[in-house]
Amino acid sequence: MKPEIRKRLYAFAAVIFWLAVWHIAAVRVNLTILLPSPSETIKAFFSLASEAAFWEVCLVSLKSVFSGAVLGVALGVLIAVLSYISEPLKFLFSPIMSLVKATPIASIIILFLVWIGKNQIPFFISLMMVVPIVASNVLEGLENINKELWEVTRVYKFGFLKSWKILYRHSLLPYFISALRSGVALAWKAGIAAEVLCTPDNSIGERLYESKLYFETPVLFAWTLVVIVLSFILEKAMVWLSCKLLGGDRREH
Amino acid sequence: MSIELRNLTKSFGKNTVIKNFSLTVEKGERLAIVSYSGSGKTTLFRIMAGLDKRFEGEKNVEGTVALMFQEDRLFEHSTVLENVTAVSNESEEKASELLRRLGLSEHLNSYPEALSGGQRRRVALARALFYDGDVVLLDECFTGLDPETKEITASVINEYTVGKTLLLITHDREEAKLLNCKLLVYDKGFKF
Repeated sequence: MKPEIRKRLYAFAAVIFWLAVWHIAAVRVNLTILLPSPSETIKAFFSLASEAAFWEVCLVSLKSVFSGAVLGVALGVLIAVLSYISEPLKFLFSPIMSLVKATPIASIIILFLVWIGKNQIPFFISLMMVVPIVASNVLEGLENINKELWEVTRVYKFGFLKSWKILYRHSLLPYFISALRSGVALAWKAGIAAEVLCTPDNSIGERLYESKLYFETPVLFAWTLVVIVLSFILEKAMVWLSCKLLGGDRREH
Repeated sequence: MSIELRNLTKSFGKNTVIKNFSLTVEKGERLAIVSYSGSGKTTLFRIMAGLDKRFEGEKNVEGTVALMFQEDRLFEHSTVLENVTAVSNESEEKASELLRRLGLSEHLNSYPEALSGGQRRRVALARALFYDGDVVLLDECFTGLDPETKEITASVINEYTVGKTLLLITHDREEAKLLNCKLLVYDKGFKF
């Protein structure tokens, strides 16, 4: 059997295994309010998807997290580049990055709730989660560019585009893609947490909060499933788009 | 005059490797610099190529400089042909011809990791020759080559460097002869 097919089979078998574990646990507990089964969750998911408001709600959350993540990536790259070319700037940004990384998300969300309108908070939270991850990864990538090869580009007077194509992209893309993957996942987690705490109008977080209030656990699971699927799609789309734009081979990463 | 170094001094911390060194190389001249390991030959080339700017004294190099480094320094994500064509706007055909002359015609689309040490060395050499610099600096360019390949390689270098200023770093005086270079022997290094 080809290694690629074997890996896919293992991955599929692992999903089936954990679904079975979930199902058995739900049967044992036998209380939907505590632990709905996979089939109850899927049923709740299709019931939600059949409502007209479902797509609007998904779009509201997707817009906040996506725009926050995209701007976060841009800011993160900018901070990394500035930190790389100027040591004083590196020291200037460093404490802010460490502070953002270390501060509990809940504290930031509550602070933002005081400062700005509740509908904008998920956007800012997603942005704040992505910036330090992208900045530190891209900076590490820049610092790990092979100095000997960099000297070759200088001796032979390569322009930026040629240097990018032949050297920089191969050094930087693995770091950037890794940051993108972690950053997007974290943006979703934090963005949805912000929505649950701030309940912006027509957001997934608001629906999660309501399902908790009314003890609609299958609905809570279904919305969680929606977030996982959206996060997966957004991550794949951003990685694909980055590789397309930056000229990388997705298989390299 | 193609290269002029006047009272050059270069130190790494407290270790001075080059002191009050002067050298004048006329345009089209071919010189082989022979000295012991660690004497500062490579540092001298780095200064001439503009990679090391922290030195005392005066340096004047006219025209563009092609430097074949002591290490191969090939771009591992690029093919052999791409490594060579990257340094010039000349056609792929010309690069292929040069690589063919250096015995690498079967490896044009190979990646450097698939090459032997001697083959990698020749790709690095091809890159330096394809750049068409006014000054060509070759740092131990024959390392890893057998005598027969060395002779073929030398004839290619001679053909591609006609009329150019050429400086060679070597331990082997025979290599200097192969490239018709005048010997400059610095038995005691570059400290004066």
